[in-house]
Amino acid sequence: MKCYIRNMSAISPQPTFATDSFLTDVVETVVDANCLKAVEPDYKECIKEAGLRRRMSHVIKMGVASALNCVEGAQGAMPDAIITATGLGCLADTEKFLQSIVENDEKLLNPTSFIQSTFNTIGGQIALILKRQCYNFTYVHRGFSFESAVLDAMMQLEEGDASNVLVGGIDEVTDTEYRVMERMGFWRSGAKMGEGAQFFMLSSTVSSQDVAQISGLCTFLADTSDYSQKVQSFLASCGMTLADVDLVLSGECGDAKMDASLLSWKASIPANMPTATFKHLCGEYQTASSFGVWCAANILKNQMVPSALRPVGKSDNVRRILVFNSYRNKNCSLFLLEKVE
Amino acid sequence: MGSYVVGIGVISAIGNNVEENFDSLVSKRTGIGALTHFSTSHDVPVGQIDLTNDELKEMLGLPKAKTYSRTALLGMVAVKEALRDAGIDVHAGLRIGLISSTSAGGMDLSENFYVEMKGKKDGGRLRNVVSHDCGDSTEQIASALGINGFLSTISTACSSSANALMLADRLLNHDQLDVVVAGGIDPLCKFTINGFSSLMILDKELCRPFDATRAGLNLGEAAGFVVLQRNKPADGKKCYCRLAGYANANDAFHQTATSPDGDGPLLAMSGALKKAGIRPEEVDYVNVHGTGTGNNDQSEGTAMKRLFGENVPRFSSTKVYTGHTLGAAGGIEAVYSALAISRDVIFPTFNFKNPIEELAMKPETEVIRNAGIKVVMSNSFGFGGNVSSLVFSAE
Amino acid sequence: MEELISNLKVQLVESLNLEDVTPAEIDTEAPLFGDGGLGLDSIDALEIIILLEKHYGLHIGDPKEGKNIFYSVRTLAEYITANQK
Repeated sequence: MKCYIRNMSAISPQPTFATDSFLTDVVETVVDANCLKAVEPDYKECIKEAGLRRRMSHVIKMGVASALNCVEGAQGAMPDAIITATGLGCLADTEKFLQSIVENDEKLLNPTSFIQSTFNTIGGQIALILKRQCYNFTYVHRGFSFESAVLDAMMQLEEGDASNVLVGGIDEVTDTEYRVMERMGFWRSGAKMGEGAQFFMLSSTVSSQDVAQISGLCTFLADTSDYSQKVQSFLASCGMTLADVDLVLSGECGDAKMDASLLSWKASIPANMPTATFKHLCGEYQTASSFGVWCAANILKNQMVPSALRPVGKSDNVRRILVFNSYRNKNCSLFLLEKVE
Repeated sequence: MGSYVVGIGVISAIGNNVEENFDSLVSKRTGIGALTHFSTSHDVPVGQIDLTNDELKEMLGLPKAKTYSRTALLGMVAVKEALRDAGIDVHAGLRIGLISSTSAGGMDLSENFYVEMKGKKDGGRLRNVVSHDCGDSTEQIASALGINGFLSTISTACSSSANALMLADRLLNHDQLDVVVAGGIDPLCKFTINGFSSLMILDKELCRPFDATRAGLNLGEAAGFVVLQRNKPADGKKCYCRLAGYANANDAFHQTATSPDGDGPLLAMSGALKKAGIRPEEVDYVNVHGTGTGNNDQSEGTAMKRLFGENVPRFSSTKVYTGHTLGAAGGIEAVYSALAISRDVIFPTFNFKNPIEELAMKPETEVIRNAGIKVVMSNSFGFGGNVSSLVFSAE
Repeated sequence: MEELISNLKVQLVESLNLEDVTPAEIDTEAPLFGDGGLGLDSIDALEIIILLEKHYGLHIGDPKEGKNIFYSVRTLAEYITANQK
């Protein structure tokens, strides 16, 4: 199974939206040292449908704007399937409705935040705006959410039911979540929280303007003992070995305990293997791997590894990138991306 | 497409296992009644599972002191039953996946966190919030039952678990897995009771699907899972039916309402039949979404008329027994569909008096045995325009 | 009546989050729902029911009852005037 990235779009804590530059002007869009907030576009410009936009919370706007931008630049491709992924969904609306239950003692509750709180809201709104009655799915499994969405998309493309699939990973940070993570000691050892919305138009056929190719992905739980074996068999399923990989792009969050499985694998790979990391730019969240894939695809397209990604080792002529993500030392995933030849 | 249903498991307001559910279904015994597990200011009947969380833990042999969301506990009961029913040994080296779905996730615990947090910056017990996300229950179930293959969780409102079965079959087709346990779970909680109340679609009486006087739905809690495998089971091995076809579409009409013409539902139903290679007239029974809201039943009925013409197959809504169990609905109704085929029976909708005038459609109101059920369609429609249909057939 | 009408417009803009409309721009006589007016939908109808209960102590038990009452700002104001004690 493989597919091509026709176009992609990212709203992230970096100036990544609607720009041709690739992480050249990294900014410190931090609330404080522990939390990265997205750089947001003017949503009135991106989402013309005022009637829908007026009810949209921050995360819905991020998701919808990123999705529409992705479709817009997708060389005319319209999605035959819309697949979204989110760990916590429309968290701010969920919290708003919960708070109103508590504060109003279950009486006279405004329905809007409840309606907007469902996990499939973003996918539904994209379908409404694009007027697409096609396949529409939402995955909500922690660090496997975006991975499930891409796997589903690749199966769709192979099944032939779809020629183009719109896939996105979206999550937001809220104040309550911030406090909860703070109390859990989340960033005591260097991790940052983050948010963002990355969308990809995946296609079954190649086009000369494609950004990159996704050649495979797999997920596994971090309790698997032999990570080298996991990586090896994944690459073998793509017809490769680690020697064929030109760059490893990994998603450590900065907390050594949470990165244990990922770091133990990195310690085992040849010392001359070029590496880079991405999570210090987007922060940690359930669907942060979508930012990793966005970075990898951009490296392949632009044929350069920005210094912002902290590259180690010389890596010119990057043709294949292995993205290794781990979430809370539990959900691990591997993506293989290749340059479109 | 065409994987085999080789095991089923369910816990709902009408029983803690498959046999108890079946007995209630053929005895026209509803599980809808008073809510007792927690207090709410809304005076509405619900489909509550009478076991408390402590009783569920005891049943599952879990430590009482440990905190689990009700979502995880209900899911463990149903998945355990389904695996045992299928005779699957999780340690036998098969590639086993678990695809669960839920709309509320661990909300039954996290909503308490918000109460505790009120006015206090650091209020609220953390153990009540760590299971908030939907993936938690799936991982808890997998870990409790020793499933260590592919895990995923879907949340598309009330169509969630129908979609879980769909993904399961596709993963089997792509040879990603050998066996998949797929279904869904939702517990009753204040969040959903208040949410549906704010939409003014909770009936204060027992719900009346497809009745002219219908005034909304009753909420319920449940978990329902099926075990699917690619290959036809050997002779003598258990096999309920096949998942012959399915389709997922989006109504793309409105955020909460389904289109009055039933465009989305029609796409889902006709798509599922097409995929199964089954003609509309071959459908023997439709387990309708039939929530009892004005909008759903009108839209679903209209779509059925458009698909089946004047020969609408026998149909019923089992939500009069269980209530609308949201993300679990497609899962438990898949179990009921498997039973309808394997035991050749139609479960009735009771509490029906007068058909919706413009549709003139009448659900089955009595148990029908030896009805010759070979093909069953099961519908699940939800918020956000998500609509799904599954088609099951006798082997 | 005029004061009630202008209050209602402010409350509508606020509770329905009408980002692109100011209270002054709302036509008192124009239909609130459907094309040609503010383009409100069934979710807004539920919000207006809450608004009426919160601000004016009026209870509407079934959204269907609201159909004629919610036709325009004028009809809303007339309903409030007629029913408020």
